[in-house]
This record gives sequence, C-alpha cells and structure tokens, in this order.
Amino acid sequence: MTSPTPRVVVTGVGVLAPPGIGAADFWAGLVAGQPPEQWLVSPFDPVEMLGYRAARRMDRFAQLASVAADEAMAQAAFGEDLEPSRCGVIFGTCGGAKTLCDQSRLYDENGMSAVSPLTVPMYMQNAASAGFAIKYGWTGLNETVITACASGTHAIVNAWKAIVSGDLDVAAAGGMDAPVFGVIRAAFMRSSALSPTDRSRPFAEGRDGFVLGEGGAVLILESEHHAQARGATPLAYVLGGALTCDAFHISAPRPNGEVSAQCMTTAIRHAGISTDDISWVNAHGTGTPLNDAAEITAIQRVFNRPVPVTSIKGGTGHSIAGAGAIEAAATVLSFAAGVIPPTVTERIDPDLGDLDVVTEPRPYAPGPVLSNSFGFGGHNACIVIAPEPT
Amino acid sequence: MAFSSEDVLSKFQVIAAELLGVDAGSVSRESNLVEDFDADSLDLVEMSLNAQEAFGVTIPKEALPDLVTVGDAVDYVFTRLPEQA
Repeated sequence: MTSPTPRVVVTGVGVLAPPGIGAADFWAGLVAGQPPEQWLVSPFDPVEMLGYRAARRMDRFAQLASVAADEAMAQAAFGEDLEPSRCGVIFGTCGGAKTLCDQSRLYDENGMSAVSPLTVPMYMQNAASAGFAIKYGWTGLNETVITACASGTHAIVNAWKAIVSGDLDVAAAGGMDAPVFGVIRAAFMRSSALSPTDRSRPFAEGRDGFVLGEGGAVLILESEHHAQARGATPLAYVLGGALTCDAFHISAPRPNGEVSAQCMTTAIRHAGISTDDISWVNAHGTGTPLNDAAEITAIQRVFNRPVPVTSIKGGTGHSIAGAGAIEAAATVLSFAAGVIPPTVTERIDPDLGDLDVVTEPRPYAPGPVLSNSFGFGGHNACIVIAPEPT
Repeated sequence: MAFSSEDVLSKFQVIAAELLGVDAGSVSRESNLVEDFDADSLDLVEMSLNAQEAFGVTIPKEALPDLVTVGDAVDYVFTRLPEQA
C-alpha cells in the first residue's frame, strides 16, 4: 500500500511534564532515567508564563495546554501569510475537573452566589482548544476528543486525518490533563488503578498500578507541501494512525490484545510500512498488571520479534489525556537525539514473555516508531511517527 | 455599615485590580474599563457580582451597557445602597 497523500510533517513541539518544562528540559529529564522528585509540572508559574489575566481564567489543564502550544508555535515559526481557515486545533483532555470540584464545594457550602461566573469557561473540556483558536486566530476545525487516556494520541490521529483528507493544511494537535488532586486521586486509588506504593514501574514483576502525573504536549502538524512552501524543516513525519475500541469492559483492556493489535496493524498499514520497519514501540505501559499484560500480548501478536519497547511513564507518571501527546513528543525528540528513551522500572516481569524493554537510554538509527495508547472504555489509539518519509 | 461614595470607588478599584491585573491606583472615576483596560463582557459580569457581594446592590446585566466609566458604576451602586434608599 502506498502512503496516503498529502504527507503530514511535524514542525513544532511543545511539552511540559514532570521530567521537565519545555522540550529540551523534558528530554534531558527523560533520558536521565530517574523518577521525578514529584509527579507534577514544577516549578510552574502560569502567571509568569501566560500573564495574570489569561492565567486566572484557566484551569490548570488549559494553562498547561497554552504553555505547550506557545512553545510549539514558536518552533513552527509561521509567517504572517498563514490562512486561518485552513488551520485547526484538535486536543484531547478530560478537562477542568479541579475547577468543577472547587466550585461544587463552594456551591454546596454557600449557594449560588459563591459560584464564579468563570466556572464554565474554565472547566469545559474544549476550553484549551478554543483558547488556542482565540489566541492565534485559527478558524478551521476545532475539536476536543475525550477518550480517557487515549485522548492525546486520538487527537493526533484526528489531526493527521484532517490534513490527509485535505480539510486542513495545519493542525495543532495534542493532549493535556491536570488530574493530580484529591478526589481524582482517591477515585483512581479506590478503583485499584493507582499504585499504593506510589511507584511507576511499567512491565515490572512487582508492578502494582500507575502513578498519576500531569502535563501536556502540542505538536504542530502540517502538510508536507505547506511546510515546504514556507521553507519549514520537518522534525518528523506522521505516517499514519488508527483507532479501535475493545468493546469489552469499562476499565479493563481486552486481555487477549486482539483489538489493540488490530489498531497497531492498521496504523502500520496506513503508514505504508511493515512491522519490520518499526524501530521501537512507545508503549502505553502504565504499570498496572492488566494494562501491561494486555499491551504486551497485543505487541507480541503484531511483531514476530522482540521489538524494543519503552514506556516513559516510569519517568512521567500517567497524565491521562496528556499521556499520548507527551509520548508523541518524546518520540519526535528521540529522532534528533538518536536515542530511545528508557523505561524507568524494576525487574521485568518474566511472565510477560520474550521482551526487549529498553531500560537504559539506547542509541539507535532513528526509524519509524509505533506509539500506542489505551483508555478506560476500551479505547485504543496508535500513531506511527518517523524521522523520514517512506 | 454606611459606605461613602469614596468607599465604593475604593472597592471598585480593588475589584478591578484583582480581575484585570492592574494597579488599583491606575483606576479612577474616569476610567473606561473596556477601552482603558481591555475588559470584556465576562470581566464586567464578574465585577458586578463582586460589587453585589460587597455592597448588597445588584447590577443587572441590562444596566451594564450604560455603566461606561467606573464613576458610572460607583454612582449606580452608591445611589442604591440601603442607607441611601
């Protein structure tokens, strides 16, 4: 199968997550191979980075989005001749739950008069994508996808589709979430998803759940033709993507990996390459017993070799809707570095079978990478990103 | 508690400073919050709600277009204070 046309390139990356704020610091933190001191974006001063008025009108998830977007846009360096109707925004997030919880408490305690008129513009999930459009004047497609932890990758898949279909020339695509606070943490803990030991250990024998993190990433995607016309240098190529749903359980993945494997193979097929061309898999790898087993089973269904696998969640934690976009950013950054980022973890679970988990920064000749995400609800999302076109 | 017109102005200066991130001293009776400080409709709504909380005077949204300057808003609130009624 030939590659879809037009080709889609990445011309800007912005990211902030517990390993670091900004692409350079994030990457340095990632390859340091240590868990962060705290599973937060820190030190993060939204007033300093966004200005007082903008920051006070945003929930933290939108603040993270805005900072990531500004970094990505600065790198993309568009000129004055950008056609706004051909530019769109597709983000994935679960929205401003903290704002809603805070305002709900105020309402319960003091009634309607205590509720801020900014509540809806702050908590609504589309606040970040709408805020981007308002700031940059982009009037094309603007959407927010909500597929839990698959949202970030899902958004990039949708952006890739929008450019391939010709609906857009340029798309800001990403994911972001700020779920590290009381009730959300308690809810995940009560559902046995979180690590009671607060250790993120993807694929480890003793893994006992994920660790909540926060962060976001935005990638600027554009058609290769559009980038060439303005003299922009591609950082990477988004070759293809796919979306499927396990249709199995609201919080557990389908154990046999069948449907997630279909997602992986479809993404690789859309990319116009074969499984042998994949240099490594950027796994969802949350560190829950069920996720890692199902995901490795799916990978083993797709690949007839122990393909190198990394989960960066050992260093980032799990930022829910932000995760897939952060992992896509890490993938793009790996091309320039020529290094596969490591999985910060412990002794690999022998019950997972024949595996090549990358546990130290590994030099490699950059090639296509399959990045995979799962989400509560059974959502599967995959993208193939490469340093060169096929 | 009885408020003077100056008290109302002072409170509006504090509210404007908090919402708009400006120096309270830069807000005068003659200030036009939209033109001088780039306030938008949400700012004005939030400001009216804060004033209501501070003084117990409701500023209905229908009245907002007529309150062009800070002085207009101060007068609107001051003349409707319970002790003025």
